[in-house]
Amino acid sequence: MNRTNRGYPLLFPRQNWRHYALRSLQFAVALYLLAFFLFPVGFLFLKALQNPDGTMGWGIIALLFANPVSWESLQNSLIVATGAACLAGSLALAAAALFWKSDIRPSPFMELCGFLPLFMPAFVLASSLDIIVGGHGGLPAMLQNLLGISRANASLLSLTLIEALHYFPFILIALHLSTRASSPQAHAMARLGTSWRRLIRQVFVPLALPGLAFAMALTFLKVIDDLATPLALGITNMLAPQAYHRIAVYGAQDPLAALIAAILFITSGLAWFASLGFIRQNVNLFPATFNDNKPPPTSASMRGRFFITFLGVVYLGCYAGLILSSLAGVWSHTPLPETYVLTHYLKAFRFEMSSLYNTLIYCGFAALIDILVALPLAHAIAKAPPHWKQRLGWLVAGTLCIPGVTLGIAYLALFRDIQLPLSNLPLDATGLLLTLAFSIRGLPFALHICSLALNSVPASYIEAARTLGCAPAKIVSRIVFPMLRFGLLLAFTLCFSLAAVDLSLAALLVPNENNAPLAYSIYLHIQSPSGMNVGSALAIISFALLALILFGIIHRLHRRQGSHRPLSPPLFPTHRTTGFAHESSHH
Amino acid sequence: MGNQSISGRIMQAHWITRPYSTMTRRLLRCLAFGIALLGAISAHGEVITVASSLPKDFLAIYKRAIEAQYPGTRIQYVNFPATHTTSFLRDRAPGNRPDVFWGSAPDIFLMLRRHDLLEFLGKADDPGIPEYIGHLRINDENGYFKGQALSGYGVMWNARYLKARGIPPPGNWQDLAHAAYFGHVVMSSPSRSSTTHLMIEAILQDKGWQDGWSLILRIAANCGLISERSAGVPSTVSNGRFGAGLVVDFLGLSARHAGNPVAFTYARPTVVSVANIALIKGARNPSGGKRFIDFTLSAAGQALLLHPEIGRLPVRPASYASLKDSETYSQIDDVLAQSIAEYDPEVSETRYRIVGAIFDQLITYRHQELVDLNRLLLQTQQALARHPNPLAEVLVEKAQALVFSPPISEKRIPELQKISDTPVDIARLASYEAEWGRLAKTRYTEARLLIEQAQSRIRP
Repeated sequence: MNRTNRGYPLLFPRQNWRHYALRSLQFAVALYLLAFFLFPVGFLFLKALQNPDGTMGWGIIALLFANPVSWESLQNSLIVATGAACLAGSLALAAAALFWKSDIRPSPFMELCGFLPLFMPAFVLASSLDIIVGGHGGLPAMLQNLLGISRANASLLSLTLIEALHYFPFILIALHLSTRASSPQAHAMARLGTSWRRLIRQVFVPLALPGLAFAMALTFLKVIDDLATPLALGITNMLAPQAYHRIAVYGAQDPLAALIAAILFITSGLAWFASLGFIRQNVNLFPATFNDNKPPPTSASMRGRFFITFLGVVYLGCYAGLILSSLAGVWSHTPLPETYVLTHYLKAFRFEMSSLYNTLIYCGFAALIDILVALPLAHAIAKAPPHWKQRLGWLVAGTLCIPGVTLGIAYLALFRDIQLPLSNLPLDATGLLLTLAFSIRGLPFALHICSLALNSVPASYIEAARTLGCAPAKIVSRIVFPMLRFGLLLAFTLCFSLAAVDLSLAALLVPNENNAPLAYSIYLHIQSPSGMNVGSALAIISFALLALILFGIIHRLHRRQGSHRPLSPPLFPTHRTTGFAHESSHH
Repeated sequence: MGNQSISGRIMQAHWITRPYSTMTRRLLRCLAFGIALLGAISAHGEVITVASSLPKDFLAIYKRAIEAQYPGTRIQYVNFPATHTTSFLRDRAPGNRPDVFWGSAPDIFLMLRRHDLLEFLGKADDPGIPEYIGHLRINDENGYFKGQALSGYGVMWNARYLKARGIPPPGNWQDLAHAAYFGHVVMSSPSRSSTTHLMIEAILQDKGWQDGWSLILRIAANCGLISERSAGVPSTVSNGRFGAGLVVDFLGLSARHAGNPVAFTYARPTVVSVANIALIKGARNPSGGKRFIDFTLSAAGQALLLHPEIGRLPVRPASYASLKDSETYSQIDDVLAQSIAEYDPEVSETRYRIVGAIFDQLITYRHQELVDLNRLLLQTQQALARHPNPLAEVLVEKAQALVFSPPISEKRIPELQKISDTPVDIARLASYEAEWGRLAKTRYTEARLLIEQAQSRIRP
């Protein structure tokens, strides 16, 4: 049994058919990563570095940057993404410090609401704001008149504001979760005479920094990849819209679009690695949500309640345009709708439920693939020798950094003209490509949760079961799987929700309208000539569904906390060790 | 932690020995349900795939009608701007393409025919559909596409919006270039909307290359937004975000039908074109596609065009008999009487991508600067009206001439015509685009300097 000292307990003894089964599973995972991540991205880079005459060289790069629009797009993308990440980050840091100082503990539902922005495309917020402040010309025109800046700057500023507003709750919750455990101790210290300023500087900031870096990096990646929001605001000079325009006009073989996609990937990668310095510790956002067995204190301070209510009112105000337009009959050039009707909801339910069904299929299968891939991968990473561990880590970071636009363009270029076996359908006429792309995008998150879950299965249980003569299959079905179950559910939900809002990918890869996922249907309807009413109704419906799912999760959590199953503490260790390593050293 | 603690944990974990829990069973059930759903989608009847740029509501009406008439048939739409059709179809191998292409602008069909992407439909014409309506030939003379409806182009406006600002309603394209409309107009881009492309091309053919571009640039400089797709124009005018927009008739009419305070007029000189439908070469289901086309041309399919949510002009004259409110509906003869006869889709087709690329480089990607420049220009002109200054006027005219002119002369177009989709051609067009992009940037900077000079002369 000495071999197992390397970390994760070996479930199956070597030289056994089960061992080969595991190996072939890992091989399948490697093949999947190769075919749907490494190969398309490599192909994209190859195309970007190919001159029009077929030789390798810098021709396309020179051609792209000969146009000043490309430089501006690169600059604008960087400015907006950095600006949004910094603005949202600094606001969230201040708000989280307030939470920490006043020991505010929002209810779990409020906490999960912080994740809502991740589950809704940002352009929904943009369209809603457009209705509220867009009496004439929308947010950019208003900012221009208010601040007296040029039109271009006003547009960029409004985009930055919208993105920051959109991702702020997510960063806030990330910070809150990574710091709240120390809040009572900080209060004790303060009572003993330590100044709050010093506490914040020496305790709060170091504790919050990893979470902040992680959330800001994620915001950067999401903003730079955003396609619909800039287009809704009429901003075209950014990398993602430029790539989209080129693909639309010149088709998938356009080398300039491939180059822009490659630049997007490199930029995202650089941003991620820049933030890695801060994220040395594992940022366990999701575990932190669930590891607290204490129920939230009901006696939250007055100030805390006021602050949370204030945030709630601000966001409700931002989404008021959406709510109003989903109910509006005739609404033209008046502050409020003239008539109110429910027909938009009826229409959405009658004709658009197929998109909900599509979302369930695509995202459900994508999340399933994620779990099927992430589990063996997590197992392999846990067992791998250190240098391999690092390489696999890089690969996963690569999948994290790949923007949807890049992946979409790579798939379009590589997987055209491939016929599906067993049917005469081409691959790109089905939702399969979209499902696979979604699964690649969700993989790093699934992997993170799966490895946490795997780490928390105590090796002693397995050993004990084995000494009692349990068959491996039984160990898996009775010990490993039940202990992983909750983590898997969590990974599934997260991957599902992330895929459900991935509009950039959907806009590029949707095969036809009947097979469009919900986010894309909302996008189409918000752009429809008869107004955005049905689109708003659809968005409200999906918000409601999301809230229902979140409520379901919380409900389960409460039940879990109420029962005595010894699952929560080992699954989500409160202390930041690398899970439960093998305990044979204690023998 | 020793053995005791491990056995303690096992004791604690007595639930492990229970049979599969409800949760596991539920998960398995979900999995089975998922697989069943996957089976359900793969088992369906005949599918007809229609590529179209027409609005979703419009297409949905046809989908329901056809699926009701042919049970077991399922219509699926691939919706993208018609300007992307060629690249979309060429990206897909024969056999993997949609069955039908249905769009508004005739030049796209000519382009598809030239790229050999259309299937021969036959020249035998339906006796109910005339060969010509007015001066317009309905079906393709070579038999590759059929006329399905007529569309006229013009301006729609929000009456409430214009009244609140005291702006007179527009009557033609030039009105939109007027200073009163600054910031109140919305239009789309010809590279993402085939109907906008047709309007741009109609202006170019009517006024000539130089003056045409001048007018287009002036209108664009008055625009508050270059919307991403053509549908963005009627929706932003309807909800009162902008005052007027350039649209194809049925979009304006359907917005009015929804109860919005909007009006539409065929801008003089208007262009009336035939909206066509064609069978794609290399379709997955050619017979189904043919059936779809036949339905849209049949009496039932033509009558659907008069549906208030669609509001188009059928090509089958008998269909107009079923019209209930014929007074409010635009009459085919009135529309034709106002249209220019010389519009030539062939000319449009040969320079299709060039016009789109010029528009994008000069207008779409530089729109913010163009609008700022126009604001400055209008302010200067107002100041000039109060304090006339001949030198400043010359400077302003110079700036206007610099900004409102095409980047290449008409003579140079032949060198760029018929750009194909090969990497070499794309690269060639990209280098032109880069040239225009640089030109636009320097022009707008120079013009700004000129106007600032003029301003300094007015107010010494």
